[in-house]
Amino acid sequence: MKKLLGVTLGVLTAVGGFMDIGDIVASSAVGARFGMSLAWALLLGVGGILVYAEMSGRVAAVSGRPTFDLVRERLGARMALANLGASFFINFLTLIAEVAGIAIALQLVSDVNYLLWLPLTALLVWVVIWRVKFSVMENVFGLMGLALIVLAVAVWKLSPDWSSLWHGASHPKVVSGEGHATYFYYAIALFGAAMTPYEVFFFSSGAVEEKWTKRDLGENKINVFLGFPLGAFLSLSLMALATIVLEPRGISVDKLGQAALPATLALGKVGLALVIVGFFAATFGAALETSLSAGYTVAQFFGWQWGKLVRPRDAARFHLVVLAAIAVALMIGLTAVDPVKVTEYSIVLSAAALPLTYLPILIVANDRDYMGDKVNRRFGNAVASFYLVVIFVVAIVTIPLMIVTKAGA
Amino acid sequence: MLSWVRENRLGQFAVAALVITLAACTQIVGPARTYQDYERKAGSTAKSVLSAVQTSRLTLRLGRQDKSFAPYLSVMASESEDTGAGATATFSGIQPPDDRAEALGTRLEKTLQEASSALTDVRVRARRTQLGTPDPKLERRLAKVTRQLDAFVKEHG
Repeated sequence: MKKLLGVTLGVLTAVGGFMDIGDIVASSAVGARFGMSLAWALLLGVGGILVYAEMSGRVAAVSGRPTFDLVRERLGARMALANLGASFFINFLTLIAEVAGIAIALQLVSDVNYLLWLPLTALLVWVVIWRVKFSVMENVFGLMGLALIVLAVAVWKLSPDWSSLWHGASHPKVVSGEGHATYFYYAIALFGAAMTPYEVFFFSSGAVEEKWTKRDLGENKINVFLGFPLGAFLSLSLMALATIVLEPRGISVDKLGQAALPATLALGKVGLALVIVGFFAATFGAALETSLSAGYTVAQFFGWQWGKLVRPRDAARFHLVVLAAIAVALMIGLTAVDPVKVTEYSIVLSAAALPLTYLPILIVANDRDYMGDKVNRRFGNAVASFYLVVIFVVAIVTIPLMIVTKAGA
Repeated sequence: MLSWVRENRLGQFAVAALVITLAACTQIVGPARTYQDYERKAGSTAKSVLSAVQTSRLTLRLGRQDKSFAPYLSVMASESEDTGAGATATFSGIQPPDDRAEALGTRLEKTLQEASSALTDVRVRARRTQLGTPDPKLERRLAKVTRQLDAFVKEHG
């Protein structure tokens, strides 16, 4: 019974953990601009994160080593330093966006400007990391994030033309008035939002912190293969809502609050309340993950003692990096930089840096010295290699597309 | 740090990548040198303001049907007003390159002013929590501006 509860909580946490401000903004903005015609990019991204999150969890459970530790070993100190710079920068952009996202969720229920909420939200993020247990942290925000199931209910309540939605998703095409470059730029945004590197940094480091062993591999698989697809289902629901309500009206999503409009139209105050709770939980959960990931990556690269479960006195530099990351994110947030724009850049730039994170995982997952009988099987390798090719292509074309489309303008 | 960048190829690559990326992210509104360029900018402005007006109309509808909380409606109305005002101010700063462009700009700016005024009225009503009471006149103004902007986008967007 206890095991079943653990698995259920893990799945629910993965659902909540999949959604963050990047997924919310990207899915909603794409739905409002391109309808369902980019659903394939979201599904492609989910497939990728399924393969690599499972692999990084397995590597961490079997070898006891988190992703960034392996990055340094496999790529060498120089390449790993470049990787650290890129990953830390992108993770940091995401952290700024998530902390601002929490503040915006609070603004939506209080009508107090989000800039005034920012110091409090940053403090809360740090206090939760400092004081709250790992399991409590994961389960509370994962479960709260489940409030976003209201998005799927809202789609059903709006009684859309299902065949039209399905046709839009299954017959992808560039909508009139949009160029191919912009279409593929947003496809990359969706792909990058689904495969954000911090997810595997957090996932693998968390697995090491929670002392996963081979016995936890079954739970790892269930969490990943049930939780992430359910999370993707919520992203698709958000895209469908934007397609049904926002696209016909010509509304483009450039504020987080606009993403809540369709569910409010469908379900009224209850729908709005649940959506805001879901946004709060999703952004808060992701802020915790990105803050910790900042500490994980730096500490694992330099070989410092690290871990949320390690006493701060024993992992002082790790905790200092986490605190500094939150403090600097707060300061940048307070400059009134547009959080939605920061989100868009972070997910697109993360797509450009994906190979640096995922290649080492694939190499180690094939190393018998580390993995023993838990090395990748042939089918897993074929799928992972396919994704690696996709990731490389995406990484090469991202920056040129960003320049050509003026960041999707 | 600077000497490390100077001596290290990886460092140079990282700095170049950062500069290119930041340049790509910057969306400075440049001058319009041809009519086509000006028309494209006008279409893009009309699209942004149309989005703000439609968001505002949806906000009004949610308030009238008592489907939302006052703070949320107030935030949505304020943000729509800010978006509309921002797009209008940016467009006003673009010099029309010829007479034809000037005529186009004058036509759009008239609609943009009507839109801005209607968006402000929605924000004021939202702040006073008056959205529960129908205001047919304001709704008609918003509908009219929507039609005008929609037609402009179809013609020039």
